[in-house]
Amino acid sequence: MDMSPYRDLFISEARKHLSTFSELIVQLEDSPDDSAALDELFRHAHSLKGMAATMSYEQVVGIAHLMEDQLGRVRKGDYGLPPALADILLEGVDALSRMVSAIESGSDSHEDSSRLMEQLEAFSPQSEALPLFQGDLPEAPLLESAPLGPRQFQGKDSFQSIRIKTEVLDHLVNITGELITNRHFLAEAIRQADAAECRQPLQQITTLLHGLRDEVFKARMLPFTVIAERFPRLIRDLARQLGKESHFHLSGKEIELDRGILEEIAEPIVHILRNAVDHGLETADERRAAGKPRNGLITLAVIRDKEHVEIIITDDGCGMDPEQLKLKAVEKGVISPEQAARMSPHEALNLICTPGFSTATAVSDISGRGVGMDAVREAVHTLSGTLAIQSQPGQGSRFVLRFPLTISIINALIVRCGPFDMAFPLNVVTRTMELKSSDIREESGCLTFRYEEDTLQLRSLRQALHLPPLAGAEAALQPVIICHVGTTLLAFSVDRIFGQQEIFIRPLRAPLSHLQGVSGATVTSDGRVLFVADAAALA
Amino acid sequence: MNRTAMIVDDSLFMRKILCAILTENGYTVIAEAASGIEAMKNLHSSHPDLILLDIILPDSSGLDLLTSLITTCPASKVVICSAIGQEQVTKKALELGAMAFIQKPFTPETVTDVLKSLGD
Repeated sequence: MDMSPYRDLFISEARKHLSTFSELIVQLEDSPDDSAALDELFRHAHSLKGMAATMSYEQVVGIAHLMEDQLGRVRKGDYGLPPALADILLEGVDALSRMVSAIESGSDSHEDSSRLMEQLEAFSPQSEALPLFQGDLPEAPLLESAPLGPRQFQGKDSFQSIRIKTEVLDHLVNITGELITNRHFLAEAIRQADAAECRQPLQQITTLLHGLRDEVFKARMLPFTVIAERFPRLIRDLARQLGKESHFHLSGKEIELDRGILEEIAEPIVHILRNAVDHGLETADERRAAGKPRNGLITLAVIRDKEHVEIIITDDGCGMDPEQLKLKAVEKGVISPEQAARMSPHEALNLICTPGFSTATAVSDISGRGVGMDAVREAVHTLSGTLAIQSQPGQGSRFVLRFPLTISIINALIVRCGPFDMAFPLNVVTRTMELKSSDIREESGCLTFRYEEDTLQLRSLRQALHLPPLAGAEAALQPVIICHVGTTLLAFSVDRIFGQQEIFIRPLRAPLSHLQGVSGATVTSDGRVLFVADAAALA
Repeated sequence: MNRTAMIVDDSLFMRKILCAILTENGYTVIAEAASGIEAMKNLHSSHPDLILLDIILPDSSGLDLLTSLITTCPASKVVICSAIGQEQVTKKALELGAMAFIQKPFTPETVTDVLKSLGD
């Protein structure tokens, strides 16, 4: 089997293993009892060895094997991680990194790693006094595998990445966004002037702009783990404080998201996790009585597809009962008994996101802290995202947060309503259609229509925006857009649907930021301001 | 007959290599998963004939995942793929219902042999 197609993958994965390995050694030196860190160290050495063996990089296999061996002994409790061993292991990482660089550059030269291998093989705490380097200054470890001439500079890896201030990146995003808006102006002008000779250059500008947009956004990406590092500890401490037992399972933490999204969602996620421990999980006794494992399980998964990212938080606790939620909401005057009677279980679950609604019978220290699920929902909507809540009484709850990958430049559907044009983020729009007046029914004060297997509610966008009804609309076909709102679909009737456009969303500042039902604004190709709709707030 | 497979391994490198070997052996790899959760999610939409499972995953105990996979998808044959603590974990995995074991590092031939030993 020809392994060369897998070389680049090997190189990038090996580098990741090595950098995590170094970090973990340092971490383990700080907290020697961290057996998970030790297990992980072992796993990285082991994975690297396996990969190298598959590629037949024998020298890498040899060193990784000895490192794994030493870690095996530490893991077995033969000895801890004395500084001298940490030194040797870090030396091993350096040697392996050089070998990976040599593989990358296609160089055949092998560095002499015999001294390092001896050190790795011979180490025992008694031998700790032995210096790593005997005699003269170490030569090999400081040099790249191929000996360098006296006037050559060493290596070229060091400048492949640089630090950059986040405000510079934000500025780049703004400039890119403005360029996209200006491209719309230009395209419109070219169309009106019918300037055929400009079409080709415009096409190229469009392609380049998309390239620029993608690269700028890539530069803003950070792995989810930057906000997730504190979650395991947070859940553990909370559970202990409440006398509960919990396991936390995190997956997809390496998935990269826009820095702006990460900043905005960290606190909402913490809130959902707190709720999961506080309201979701039962005590060990209650769980035993319910025939569940003693430890409650909370999971957080980050999943990404081409355009979206989903953050799914689940718990296997007591779940939420839609009927209880309805009772509570009626009691608190949030909804009327009639509204409660009409509510589907899905809608009832969404009641927890209503301002002023709290499911805890007594406000506890932990969850009743000002930030409510209403704030969570608002934060999600600000990011043009959706929040879906599912729950089974007795079995647990599941919160799905779904966002577009980037927050400031998105694809949107442009619609007209009275004097306004509005943009609906495409990720919340399921489809558009035209309804005949005979398709629309009135059921207990709501307009509805049949859509596939369901009956959907139809809202008038004009009404939601407090505009007068469109005269003569009864006879004509009614353009409708169907949106995801929470876990349900909801339709809005609009005056006209224009089509899709890439837009650059600018946040609204006071007093416009108080407008209900809009989450931002953008400038159209003819210079008008267009509001970005928040479908959930309009519902 | 075209058989389908899912590969569960946190290493993209390993997944790609295993995918190539499985394809050469007449399998269609319909899903890849880098974690236990992804693996279980994949099973919502498809039930592969074969699941290659790295027993050491960063996000879950391989043995727990093995049990879940077998429960959710009793018709799938699960082959364990790893090397850490071979004897004990392998033994346990085989007791729990894994059909066979591929030891890392492997050659394409070893994997082919194991696939043949599954008897289909």
